[in-house]
Amino acid sequence: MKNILSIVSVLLFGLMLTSCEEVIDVNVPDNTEKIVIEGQITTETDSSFVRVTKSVGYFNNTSATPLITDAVVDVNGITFTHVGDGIYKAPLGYVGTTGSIYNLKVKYQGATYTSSTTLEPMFDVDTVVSYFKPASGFIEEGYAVAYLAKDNRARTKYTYFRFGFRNTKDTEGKDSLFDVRILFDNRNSVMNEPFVFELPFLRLQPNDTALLIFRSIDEPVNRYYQALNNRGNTGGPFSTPPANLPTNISGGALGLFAAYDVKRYIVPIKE
Amino acid sequence: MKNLVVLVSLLFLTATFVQAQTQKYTLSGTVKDAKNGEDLIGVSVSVTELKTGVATNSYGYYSLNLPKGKYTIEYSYVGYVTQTKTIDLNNGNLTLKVELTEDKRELKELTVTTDRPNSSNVESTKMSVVKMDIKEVKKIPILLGEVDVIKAIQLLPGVQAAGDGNTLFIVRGGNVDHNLVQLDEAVVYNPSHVVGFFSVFNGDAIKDFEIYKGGIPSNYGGRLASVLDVRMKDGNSKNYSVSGGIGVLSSRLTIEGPIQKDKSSFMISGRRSYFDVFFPLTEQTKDVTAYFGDLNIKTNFVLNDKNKLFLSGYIGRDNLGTGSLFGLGWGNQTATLRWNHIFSSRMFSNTSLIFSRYNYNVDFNISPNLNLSRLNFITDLGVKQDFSYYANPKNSIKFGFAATHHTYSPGEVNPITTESIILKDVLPAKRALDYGVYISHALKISNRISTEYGARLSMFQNVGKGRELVYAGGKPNYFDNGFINTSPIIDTTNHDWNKVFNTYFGFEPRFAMTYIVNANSSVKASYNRMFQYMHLIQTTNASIGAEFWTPSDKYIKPQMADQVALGYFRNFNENAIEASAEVYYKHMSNTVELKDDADVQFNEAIESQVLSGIGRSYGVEFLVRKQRGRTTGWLSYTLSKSERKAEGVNNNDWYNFRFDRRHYLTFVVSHEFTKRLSMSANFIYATGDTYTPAVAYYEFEGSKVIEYGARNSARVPAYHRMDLSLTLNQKKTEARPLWIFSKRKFEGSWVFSVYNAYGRKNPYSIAFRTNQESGKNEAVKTYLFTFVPSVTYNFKF
Repeated sequence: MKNILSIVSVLLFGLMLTSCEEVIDVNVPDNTEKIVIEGQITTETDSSFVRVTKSVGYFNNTSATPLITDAVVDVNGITFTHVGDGIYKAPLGYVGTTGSIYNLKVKYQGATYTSSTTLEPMFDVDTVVSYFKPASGFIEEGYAVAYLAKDNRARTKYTYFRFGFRNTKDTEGKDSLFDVRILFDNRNSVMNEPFVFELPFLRLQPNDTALLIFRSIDEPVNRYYQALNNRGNTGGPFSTPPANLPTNISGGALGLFAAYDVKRYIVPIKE
Repeated sequence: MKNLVVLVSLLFLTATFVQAQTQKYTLSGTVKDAKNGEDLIGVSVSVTELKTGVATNSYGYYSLNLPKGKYTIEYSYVGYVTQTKTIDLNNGNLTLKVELTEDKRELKELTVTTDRPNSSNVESTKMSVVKMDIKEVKKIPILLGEVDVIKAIQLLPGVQAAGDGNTLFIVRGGNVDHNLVQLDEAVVYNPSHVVGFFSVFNGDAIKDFEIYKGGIPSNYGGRLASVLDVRMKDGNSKNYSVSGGIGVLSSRLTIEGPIQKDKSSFMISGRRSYFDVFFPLTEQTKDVTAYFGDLNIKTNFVLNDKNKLFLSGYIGRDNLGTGSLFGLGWGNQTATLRWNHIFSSRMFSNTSLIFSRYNYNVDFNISPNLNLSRLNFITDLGVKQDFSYYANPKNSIKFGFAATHHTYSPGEVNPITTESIILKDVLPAKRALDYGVYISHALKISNRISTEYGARLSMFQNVGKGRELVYAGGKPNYFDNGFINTSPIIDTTNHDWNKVFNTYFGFEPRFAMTYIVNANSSVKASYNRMFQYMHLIQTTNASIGAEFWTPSDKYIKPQMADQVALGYFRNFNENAIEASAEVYYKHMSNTVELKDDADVQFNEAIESQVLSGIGRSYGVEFLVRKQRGRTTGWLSYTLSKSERKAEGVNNNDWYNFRFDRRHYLTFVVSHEFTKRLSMSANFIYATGDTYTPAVAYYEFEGSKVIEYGARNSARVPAYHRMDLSLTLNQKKTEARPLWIFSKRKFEGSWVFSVYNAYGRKNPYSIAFRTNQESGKNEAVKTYLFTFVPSVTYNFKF
């Protein structure tokens, strides 16, 4: 009997090992280059920009992203000018306001690409707390971070949330955000009363700095990010059929034009 | 409806008229297996003098109305010794219960048998259908040694697996939900265990099954492409017996026996996987839960010569999860109560009460304040009445009706803890009534020409209590510049209990005809129209339980298919070898296609996430099958094409169906070297599946985003594999297997098998991604099963 058990466990383990992946050569048709627009209007001063680039054939592994530096970019009548790396910016001091609708117009080589997005308000977080938690399952021990807030927006508002920690060792003070884009909406959650939310899987150490960024988004932008998140799930039995991202830009360009009410919280972890 | 009544009375008139000419008497009865008393289905009962006959029905019943006289009646069935009886039908009706014994002669004799095996595949009007005995299935080497009905049918022409090792199947280019899967008449909504790699059908509890790919008789309805009709064993009515098996993946145990000898019997059969026993052994898997289990129960009672009752049930359960963090569970439950009643020797009736339920739940418990449990189910409660009227050997009529009430629960979310920020939310249930009335007339026009024609009238109603969404512009989706947009919901309409708020009708003609060219060959043609009123919403490639069924309603129209098929059937070598070639063309309309990035989970507005399309599928299938002798098996080849088209997909052009495979070849062979040693092998070759290729990428938020080309426009490399198995039967011994049993015969056998023997890395899917180290874009194939050995020990006493 003991032998049978060991054979079985070897077989099962073998089965798990044998289901795997391999890089293969495929022939895919060449795609004509398309204009790509990545634009955002935010409530943080001078952080709004529009970037105009081009798409590249998928297996063209050599060339850098082609930049468009001579497009005409206009948002609600204000001209954004090229400042380098394909990025176009408004005059200094530009800031988005909640409740406004932003209309984008990009003209390039005779073609016009347009988009429209609403800058929805974001709710405020009252406090961010941290507390020690022992290891559980595959999550290591450390300080969990939770926030206390009250969602006082209307029903069916969307939030794009990212979190991470501030890398204090980096001289440029760059933020390390986790690769997860969390999208949530208030279609089915507590509203108008305080709630506590613990950030999933996050465990920090004393002297780390937790970073929480909340952005309000409208429905088409939510749809784009949701589709982008679905992309993580390709290959294998549980994958969903691949689909192109639902851009909110018309005229044949790829990309997204979004408006955010940004709320940032930077909280040092204390022992 | 009125037309149908006229048709019925007309058919009866014809039948009685033919009968009135000479004095006639009826020979009727049942055919059973002499060893265990199981009803034998499809036994050919032929009258030698008249060169005519019938086949036994699903309950082993037959009836022949003949002019008075003396006759020789031959009862023949594959794998059984043919019995011949002489009867005197001069003095009134006669009942004859026949028991056939399994053919257990020496193998040497078997190969030179002079028996005339029936040539029913040539003579019958049935085409595009395959019936298989579970004994035949058990010879086929299968993934991890689990005997599996669905894996066996995937080796037949026209039936293909929807992915390596997957129990989901497609028939003649139809979708996976276009198959009606029934267990003792109850619909099985998810026939999979372990995310789709094993079917819910326990080989030990199954008697036989039939799959219709075309020419579907009018007593079946509700799905476009096929009917898989699986029948459970009734239970041994002669002796108690125990059988079972210990396999790599699971173990089985079946107990059956008479309650009252030859009058009533029971069968109880259970299975449970046990790979989860080993999870605690390693650190990575110690929190993992993964198991399935199922139980089949059946009992039957012969009340008297005219009445028989059957009660059967199935319960299955799957659970997958990691600790308390995540859990997924699903299961089917079915129950069928059947009453066979013989009104007269020529009128057979069966009444069934049917219950079926499928549910799944998914639990997330990420933190004390972020957790939820989601439930989803479908419940059916139905009644079915079937009559068979055997007018005479040339005429028989089947008619009946069915009514089913469906309850669909699209979702219910509950917080697991009181601190969870998720609120309880319940999407309103949908309810529907599903009716079908049918009639079918089998008519032997001459010795060469026979036909079976009929029709089914189906009706589907959305009934209260229910809620309908109202969209701006009256449609859930609208098209703007070639882009699909969701219309805003402007209102909801609530309907009270039992209020009918939407009705669809379907007229479904069915027709089949055979022209017998000579004793060994025939030409057949068939046509059928099918309606499908419920649709599977599935976003993933495999069955993970998260898919769900949704009914047709105001916005989602019923799917419809028309299929024509033409076939040539020929038997060789005294019917020992059966061969057939069939061509088919199928047109589907209102097919349900998911939108790109469809948001279907916990969404009341399902209709806004699907598109209505059309489909076409055509091909030619060849089959050569040998069912007798030392060497048995078949060779099949299919050349086919299947496409879809929907507004808003692929620039409104035709695109390949995901499982469009140009060539599909299977070879199944089994050889008995000696009574104790046999070997089997399968080989499959299939054109690679389609996929949607990445054609470009662009930069967004600092990372690469893929741009895809036309849907399903590229193909993965071809699929092929070989499976092998070796069966070693132990010497039969007389023993007392357990203290409770008396001394009896004990049979044991070892089955060693290998799935994908030469270890081909068959692509399951293709994904595109950027290599983290080199930064280069690459295409990556996922493959699942390469060289999977297994060993199973089976016993019976």
